[in-house]
Amino acid sequence: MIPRRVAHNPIIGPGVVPRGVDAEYDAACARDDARDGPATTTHAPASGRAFTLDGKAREKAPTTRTQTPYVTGTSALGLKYGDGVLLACDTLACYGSTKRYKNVERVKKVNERCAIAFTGELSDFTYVCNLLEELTTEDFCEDDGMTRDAEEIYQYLTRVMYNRRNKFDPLWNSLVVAGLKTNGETFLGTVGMIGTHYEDDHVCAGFGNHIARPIFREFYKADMTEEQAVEVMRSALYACVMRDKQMMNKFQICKVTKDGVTISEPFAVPTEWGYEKFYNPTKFSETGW
Amino acid sequence: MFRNQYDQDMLTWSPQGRLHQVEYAMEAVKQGSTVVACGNKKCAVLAALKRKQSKLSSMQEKIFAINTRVGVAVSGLSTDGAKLVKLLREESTREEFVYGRSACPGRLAAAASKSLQISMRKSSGRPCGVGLVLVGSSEQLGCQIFQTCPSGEVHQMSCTAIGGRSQSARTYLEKNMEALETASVDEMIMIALRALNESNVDASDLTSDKCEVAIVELNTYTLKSAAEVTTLLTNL
Amino acid sequence: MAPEGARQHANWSPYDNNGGTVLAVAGENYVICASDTRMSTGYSILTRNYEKVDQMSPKTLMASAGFMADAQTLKKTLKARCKQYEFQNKKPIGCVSFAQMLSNTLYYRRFFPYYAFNIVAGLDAEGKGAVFTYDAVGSYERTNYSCQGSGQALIMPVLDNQLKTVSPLVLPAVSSATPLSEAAAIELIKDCFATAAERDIYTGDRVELWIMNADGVRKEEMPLRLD
Repeated sequence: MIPRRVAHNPIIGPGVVPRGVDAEYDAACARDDARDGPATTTHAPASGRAFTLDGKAREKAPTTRTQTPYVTGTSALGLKYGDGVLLACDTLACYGSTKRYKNVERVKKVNERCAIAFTGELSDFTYVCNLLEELTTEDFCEDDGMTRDAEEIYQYLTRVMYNRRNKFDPLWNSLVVAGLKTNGETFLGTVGMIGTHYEDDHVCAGFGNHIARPIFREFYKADMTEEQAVEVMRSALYACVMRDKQMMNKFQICKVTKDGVTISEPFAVPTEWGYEKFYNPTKFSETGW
Repeated sequence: MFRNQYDQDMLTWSPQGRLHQVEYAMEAVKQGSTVVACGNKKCAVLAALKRKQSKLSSMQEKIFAINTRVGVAVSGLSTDGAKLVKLLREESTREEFVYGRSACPGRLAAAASKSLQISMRKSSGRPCGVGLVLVGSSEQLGCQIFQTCPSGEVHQMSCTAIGGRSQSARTYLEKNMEALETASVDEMIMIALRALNESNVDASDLTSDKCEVAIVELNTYTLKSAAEVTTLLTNL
Repeated sequence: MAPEGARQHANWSPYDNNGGTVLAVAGENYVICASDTRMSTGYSILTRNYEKVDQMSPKTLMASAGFMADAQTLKKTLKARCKQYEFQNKKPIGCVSFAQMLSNTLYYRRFFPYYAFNIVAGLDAEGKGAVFTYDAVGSYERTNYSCQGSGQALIMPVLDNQLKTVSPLVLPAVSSATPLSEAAAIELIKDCFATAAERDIYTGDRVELWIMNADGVRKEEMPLRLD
């Protein structure tokens, strides 16, 4: 009887070691077959022999960290205006290139004067939300009337992201933090996956940094009204949905003013597909099919 | 020698429901020199009498800055006080590192309270024989005054006095409670110094090397220099 | 399991280079610390308003280019330690002590370094300008001018040409501080940044100069190319 083999890479787990990989093993199998006749059971297919999982090896194996994100949101946009801040993103969470979850709220209200939006891994964002929830609970329990303003939340998140980066176990997110400071000024900042952070009048996390940011740079005015700001935001969202394949035409805009945080109902921006040449794109193309 | 049979350690309650060791620690606070604090939302003043160990020694320190917005005065065992001041400074630095903003006085007082309460609960230690008066401001809540006690209790006060002979200062403050609400910084300093003067029963008058004054306004904490204190005292 | 190198997503790196140029010049009784305010990643500008110079104590300025998250954390850590120093010694930290502390802090992370290129500028105990220049792991030296960051290669030769003075080894000792007046040094620095902004894509937007002398610290600014 040939002893049961374990995989070359014991962490991979149960599977089949094909013939031809290990000469010694093949020879042993040949000897076995010569004695008993060729294997007939389904447990040991002729092409190889089952191996088992080496549990001990798994314990000894190095801890692995998030190497790639799985369920991701794309761009998150932020824009300041006269007396408030806007946050915008679509409601889509992708699984690779699959539009997997189409009804995800990608902005989160932290407290009455702060909201955050994210790009990247959805589950990591949930974890970030839990941390912020804990922070709020702590403030509530202290019961001294103190709450964290947007800038403090931002600084805190900066530390969280940077510390995880230091552990080589990053939270796979870029976050946009919008809100008001205690002195009533508006605040808008972003924190990246490795702790890179900055404040600006307009910020974009994710691919939107290439598409929406130029629009913001062009049209941003410090004293914009809310209507004007929403208009700029909608044109930025339009550009994003046209150019970013991970963006969906279903958005939410979150507004933070001194009256609190409001997250809008999902809406779509109007798109026009009825162009004549779209109906039969190959009509005038000689090489087309 | 012993007051009673229930005061040998901190684990034994007296039948009246008292922890005598803690109460003795509160007595230690009264051994310290007087600390006075008074304020409203816009400003607060911390004033303290200083003492010398002996004629040959230097003046003790009474008021300590915790960060740019908060200061604390101690009365009682000064080494216990120093330990708590260190704790508060560390807590404040930590808060500033994480949130990018000076810690607010309420949270610092809560941190001191936690530490005091822990030292009171352990059989291996003893309660801290020190009272703190913490004065500071935060953007959200304005100026605040907190007072701690060896038992770990923390109270927010509109005005207070602790330490030896502080009763007369308290009486003065109680009489002037209404004035506090609307007092300007200068008026507030005068109220604090007059209250402190009530507790000064030394042969000599208050001088700049016998007292320290710190002022908290919105988002600033300043310890007055000896020269400034001298000028303030002339208006007394 | 996907073979090595076949990952669908970008590989993760704990470091980034956010660019930026920092520069400092020490005179007999002044010191100037300057930086541009651009922050980039790859070919993108993240913000045009990232100030790289910070005042660490009344007599110390510090500027860092490189990876901004590391630089900011480093500054935060140092500020906390400056506060601790002030509590323990009842006086603010001087620039020479600060320079040593920065070196120690950098070397502490020798095997996971802060990817930050630092310059410390300040007035020493005699009130003379001092500039300290560092590598990422804490080697440092006191000089009278230095430039670090993305525009270093463009600016440093100019400073060498304009500011090189007598070697500190020459006897009898001659002051090695730059002979330039404060006003002339400010002009030189502005020119240096305008020059670097022409060719270095990571330098631009705005230059801020912190000028420290016996009267205190003041700030000057000049716009740079925005492209």
